[in-house]
Amino acid sequence: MNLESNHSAASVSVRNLRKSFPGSGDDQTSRLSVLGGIDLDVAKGEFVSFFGPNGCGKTTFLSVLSGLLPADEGTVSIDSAGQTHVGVIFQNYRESLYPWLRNIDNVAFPLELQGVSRSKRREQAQQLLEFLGLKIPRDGYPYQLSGGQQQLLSIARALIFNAGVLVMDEPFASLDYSTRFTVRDRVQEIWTKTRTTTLFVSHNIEEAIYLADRLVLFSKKPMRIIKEIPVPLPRPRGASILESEDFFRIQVQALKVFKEAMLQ
Amino acid sequence: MKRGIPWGIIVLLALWCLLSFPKLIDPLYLPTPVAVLREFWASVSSGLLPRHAAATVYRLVVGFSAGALVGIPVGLLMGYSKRVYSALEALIEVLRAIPVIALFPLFLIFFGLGDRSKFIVAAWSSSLVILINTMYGVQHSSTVRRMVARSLKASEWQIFWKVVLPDALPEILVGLRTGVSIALIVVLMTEMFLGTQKGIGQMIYNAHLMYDTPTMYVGIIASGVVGYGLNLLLLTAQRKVIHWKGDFQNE
Ligand SMILES: Nc1ncnc2c1ncn2[C@@H]1O[C@H](COP(=O)(O)OP(=O)(O)OP(=O)(O)O)[C@@H](O)[C@H]1O
Ligand SMILES: [Mg+2]
Repeated sequence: MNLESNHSAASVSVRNLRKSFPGSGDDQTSRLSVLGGIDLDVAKGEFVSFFGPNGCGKTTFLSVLSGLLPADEGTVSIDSAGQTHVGVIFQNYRESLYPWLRNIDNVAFPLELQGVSRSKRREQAQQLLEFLGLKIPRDGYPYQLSGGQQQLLSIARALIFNAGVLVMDEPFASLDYSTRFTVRDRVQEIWTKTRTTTLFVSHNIEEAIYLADRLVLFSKKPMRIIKEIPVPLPRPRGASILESEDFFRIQVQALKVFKEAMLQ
Repeated sequence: MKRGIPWGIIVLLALWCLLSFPKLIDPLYLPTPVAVLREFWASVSSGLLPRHAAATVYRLVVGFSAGALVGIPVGLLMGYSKRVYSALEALIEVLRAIPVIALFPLFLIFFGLGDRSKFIVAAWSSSLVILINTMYGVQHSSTVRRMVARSLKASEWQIFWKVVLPDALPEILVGLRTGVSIALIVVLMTEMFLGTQKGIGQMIYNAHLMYDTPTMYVGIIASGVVGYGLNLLLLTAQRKVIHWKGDFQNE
């Protein structure tokens, strides 16, 4: 595990990705087309936010990216010198940890799957938590943690897996309002430390811009990319950046493009 | 865990005293608590009650364990594999619909009057509820947790052992607790009607034939104590094993 740099970070390249599901209507042959041909390139260590309307296919897209669903057409390639693993962070933090495992063993779970001995994997998990600056009682159990801590724990778990890409599907959506802000900043910190390529879905445009190097706007399904907007704001970013003119300009531009596309 | 005052038991005892001491109910039907207590000590010191209780617990433990050993694995398989489920579902439903009493004579023919048929009856009835609960637990285990494991490149085998099984554990334990109660009922019934010299069921039934009501009550209470003890044992195990659910905190 090389934490200090982004050696294991991967670049992602998506070409003409299409996916449909069996239609639900009476017509057995009709299919619901969800991904309507997506082309996207993400550089090593880049943080990309996705923003799109409800039910447009974001989760489907991330599932195909992370290999949990097969694509109908098109390719996803993940290139890195080291790992091509994709670490998935699910929205539902309550169900994404293993409640019967101690916190430390949740982080170490990927190593357990790889057959690393208990003392070794706990040591590695402990090192990772310290490196990330996560103060979570190692011998406690997930039910004792706040939602935000649980989500951070699943991020740590994905990092120990040596994920070249982190995929986060509305990771903050189940958190309460004030926790969102702290967890958002912890995610920024973790990303700054590890420089892991991150794809982040959010329903909150402000949050999406705040964290991103680039914002990608999606259309209604069949989902396509409407526009990609770079976010060249300085880092590290704090709450004050939300009031900056540049931030405001990007947000206005994004919402304008988004509304126009929705009206079509 | 804080306990309140067990009003129910106090009221029941008071009612018993109230009805039995002034002989409002014929002592032949309802002896006084004192008479029952005296009989209780007598049967304990003569070693009769311990011997009966030991026989019942032994049958119960053997039958129930056998039931769990069949019910849990089959339930796990049915819950996990759609193919096994569709192969066995109808059969299990049919077997479940047959009241176990209807099978007593059949088991007698096959296994005789001895302990073996009692084991089988207890195993039979407890295995079915354990199986159903286990299957339910697996079927309702979290898909997100499985997806997480899949995304971490867990093998199918690892997903089963490290994710699905622990996820189903709470339901399995519910099944075990229900199973042990059912097994106790069935064991007592077999002891009453399938000739034997020992067992709480036999003690109760025999006392009934002789109109020895104090002994009958001793047997009834003893069976309650056995059931309560076993349930407590499993409840403790449940708290130990699934403490991580965190929902015993405020009980
Ligand atoms: N397994 C499936 N079978 C059939 N249809 C599906 C399946 N998964 C998703 N869909 C449909 O595909 C569409 C896109 O779903 P998806 O969950 O990817 O959207 P989303 O953008 O993540 O939505 P949300 O904003 O609510 O999270 C929806 O209409 C959904 O009903
Ligand atoms: Mg979604």
